[in-house]
Amino acid sequence: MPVIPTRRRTSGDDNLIPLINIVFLLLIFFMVAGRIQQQPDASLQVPAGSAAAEAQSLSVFVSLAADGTLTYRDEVVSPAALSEQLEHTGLKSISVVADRRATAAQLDDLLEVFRQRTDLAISLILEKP
Amino acid sequence: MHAGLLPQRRSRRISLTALIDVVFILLMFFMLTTGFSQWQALNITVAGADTQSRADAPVLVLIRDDGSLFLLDEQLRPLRAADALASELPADRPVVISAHKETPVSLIVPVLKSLNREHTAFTLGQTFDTEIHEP
Repeated sequence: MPVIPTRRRTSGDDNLIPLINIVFLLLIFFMVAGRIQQQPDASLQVPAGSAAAEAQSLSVFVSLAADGTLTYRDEVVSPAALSEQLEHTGLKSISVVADRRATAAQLDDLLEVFRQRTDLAISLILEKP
Repeated sequence: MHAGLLPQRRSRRISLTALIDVVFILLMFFMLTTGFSQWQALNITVAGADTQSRADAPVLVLIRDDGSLFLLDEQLRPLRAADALASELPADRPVVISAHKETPVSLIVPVLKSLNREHTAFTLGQTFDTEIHEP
């Protein structure tokens, strides 16, 4: 009977087990807590506030940046180009994600596009605090 | 069959490196595509061709570039904070919101939220660029 216990041979993978534990926890956290959806530009400071309607998703939205730049489907567009693009879609509703620093004049330029479309429901997106 | 005749299977440990590669890729995917912001939609109506033909003359809520509010009905008068806006507006009259050109969106949103909370229908009108002085 051996007096000295034989040392188990350790493989390099043993060091990975704590790492993979943490990575699995992170993975589960992001899978459960997050929501996969198209996000507006991270530089946008969306006004905070609660409204009556919960926006289920931001599937179709126009972003208005602080400098007045309009973005639609990940492309910078002019109001005229946006109007032309909307003509070819059968959209019934559209969301406006406006930066809180954008001016009323810039918002008005965007809304001018929608004034010609009386069948289009418009909603202003707020971030739930 | 005698067990001793079968070839002995060597117990091999599965390498974790390949597993963690896949898990890292999944983690990156979820980290980059998920968002935690919860969005709220504030329904707005913009002044269009159909809103101009209403019989009732609208009351105009003016938002100055510093956020102060004025009601333009028969005469101009200042309004209190946006929270109690709906109670100060005449009933059964269409409400049109108009902001100074330089008013930031952050000062317009509380007005819209207040009216929305009180279930007061409103129309977002065009902007103005004249200075408003308190009467």
